[in-house]
Amino acid sequence: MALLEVENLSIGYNTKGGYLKAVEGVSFALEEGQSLGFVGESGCGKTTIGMALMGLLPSNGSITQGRILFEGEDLLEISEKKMRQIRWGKIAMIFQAAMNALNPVQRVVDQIAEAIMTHSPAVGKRGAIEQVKDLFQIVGIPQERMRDYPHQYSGGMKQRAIIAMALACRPKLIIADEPTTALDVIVQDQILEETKNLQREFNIGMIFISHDISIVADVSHDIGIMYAGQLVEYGAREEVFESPVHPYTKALLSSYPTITGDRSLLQPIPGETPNLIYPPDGCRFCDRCPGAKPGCGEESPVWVDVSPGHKTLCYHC
Amino acid sequence: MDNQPNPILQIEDIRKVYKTKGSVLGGPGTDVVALDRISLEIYKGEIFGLVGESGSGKTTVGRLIVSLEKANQGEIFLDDVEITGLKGRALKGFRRRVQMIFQDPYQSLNPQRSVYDTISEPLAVHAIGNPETRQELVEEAMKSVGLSPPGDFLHRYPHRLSGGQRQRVAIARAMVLRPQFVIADEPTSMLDASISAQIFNILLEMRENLSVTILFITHSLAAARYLCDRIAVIYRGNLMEIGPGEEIIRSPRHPYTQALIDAIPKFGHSGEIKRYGTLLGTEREGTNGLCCAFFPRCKVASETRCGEERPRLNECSPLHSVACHYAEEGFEL
Ligand SMILES: Nc1ncnc2c1ncn2[C@@H]1O[C@H](COP(=O)(O)OP(=O)(O)OP(=O)(O)O)[C@@H](O)[C@H]1O
Ligand SMILES: Nc1ncnc2c1ncn2[C@@H]1O[C@H](COP(=O)(O)OP(=O)(O)OP(=O)(O)O)[C@@H](O)[C@H]1O
Ligand SMILES: [Mg+2]
Ligand SMILES: [Mg+2]
Repeated sequence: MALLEVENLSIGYNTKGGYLKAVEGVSFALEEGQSLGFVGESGCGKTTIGMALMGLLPSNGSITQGRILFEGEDLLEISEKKMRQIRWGKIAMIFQAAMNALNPVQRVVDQIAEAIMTHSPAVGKRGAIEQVKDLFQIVGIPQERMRDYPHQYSGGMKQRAIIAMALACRPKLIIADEPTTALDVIVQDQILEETKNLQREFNIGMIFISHDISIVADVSHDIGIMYAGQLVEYGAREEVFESPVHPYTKALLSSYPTITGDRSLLQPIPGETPNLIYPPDGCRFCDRCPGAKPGCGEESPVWVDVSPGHKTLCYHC
Repeated sequence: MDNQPNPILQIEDIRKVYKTKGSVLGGPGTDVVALDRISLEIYKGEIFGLVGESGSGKTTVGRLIVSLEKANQGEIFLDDVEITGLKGRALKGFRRRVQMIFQDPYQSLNPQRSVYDTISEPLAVHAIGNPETRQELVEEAMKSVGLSPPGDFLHRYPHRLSGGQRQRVAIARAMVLRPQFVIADEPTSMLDASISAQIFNILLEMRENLSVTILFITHSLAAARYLCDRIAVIYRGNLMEIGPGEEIIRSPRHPYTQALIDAIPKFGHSGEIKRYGTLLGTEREGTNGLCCAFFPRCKVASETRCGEERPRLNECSPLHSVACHYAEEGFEL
């Protein structure tokens, strides 16, 4: 049984302008101890999926269809009480705006110790602080900085404290929403390396959400490329990066600055992402697609298998 | 740029120390040396990249330049005027000419203020224009960062904007006063590639059309390479290497710069991921204050030279300087 199975999930938000379809028909599965990366443009629905898995959608958000099976149980069917045990205990999330998630008037060590004690009161304050020490070692913050307040940390240190917080209750699944974006490459490299080790050691399933392909490429077994609320390509990392098929995936891969090769002008993808209140008929990338064919703007694309496990939402590529 | 570089900003021998709380065991508070006697010049009209890892002091440089923070030692000159002593009208004029775009668009925008309120606020603070001309200036700034048509965004609040849109609002707010000097502190670290590429291109256009000088703070050498004429690499508050961007990337002279380059997962258009060996060693003890700042992690360092004497910044080729005892003879992996 997969740790997590998401089937045909659609999520939207009530807004002044109408119902915004943030996520449409997304399906994926994650085995225990495996990792999955979601990459896509700002606003494509990555955080929304994470929040739905945590049962933390804002009050104007709602799930219109689909199932979220975690250890075989549909999270959309269980009570809030049960969900509260799963949240942070079994599924933890590193939030995108994590740098602000720390309480500014409480010492970092106390915040993390509190999180540990909430879920395992038996540990006691002393035990919890011992665990925080270990966690700090794992994420690489010097112990003498434990008693600092969050504002005394640099951006990167705050991010590491947040990662320590997510690890605190030994969850089965961690959703990491832009976990290392504010970090330099060496620290990022170390944190991702540590995360991989922890994942292996404790058999944690990970979902990495990032706009930074290189992070996702580094840590994920499978990759999902998202565009305007839909998955458009899905497959093993090597497949998706080495033989991308969807025109959006290709465009995305070539809009990164690199340190190798020529320094050529970056080509942002022309045009705008579609309005998600009135999403276009047919393929959502059609307007911006260099390979669009007549008909792409009318008929909804269907999933096409490229090779075993590698599929794309486009029948022209 | 002309051949004769013309400095707009000079940082001279800046040192900044922060105090922190003591350890759990009740030890004394420690001092964090955020910047350790840094000197550099930024030329008029260039995009200057300041690259370094988390906690290296990049944001501190920015905060010192916009006087959000005071240095413990050293001086900063804008157009040959020392800025720390500025008061009254001179200070206000300075604040108008120098703007900072912050790292985190989620934190830097006030959630209670609409896009219009946010971008027009600096105009109100500096009593520029009347309500009508202000609206025009705001719309112009919005168009320059691709928030168009402005009418679609003017009355929105930050929670209804995507990360990329928020950062564009922050840039428009910085640009609305037509500053001479802008500090962009990791302006795209929260944004995806295509939007980053747009923002990079917006910064390039701003430099072109509005003749603004930009200090671009980043942890990404790839981004710095794309945008910057010159790049400075700092490590734990020390300037390690400074020079023309392409030269720094292609022939780094400092082992730390080389280590930074090596840590980037490299995948080109073919999508393959490569990793190189690194000049990072395991941490070892260094005599603080005496040794090279990178000595504790440097694989090529020697105990006798690097462990006991901090290298000075020396010119190794025109416009390219490096602080490493091994810069001249070179090093091998
Ligand atoms: N609380 C909300 N109310 C209304 N619309 C929302 C809300 N939160 C998100 N949205 C909209 O839903 C869509 C998906 O947003 P989401 O935050 O999931 O995107 P994302 O992929 O995480 O983007 P980013 O990379 O910028 O973080 C966007 O169009 C966004 O504007
Ligand atoms: N208010 C403060 N009190 C104590 N220490 C501070 C304070 N602000 C910064 N520091 C310390 O000064 C050093 C430099 O911090 P700074 O924010 O300039 O780093 P940075 O290079 O911008 O890092 P990042 O890439 O993580 O944003 C860090 O060690 C940080 O912990
Ligand atoms: Mg998000
Ligand atoms: Mg910073």
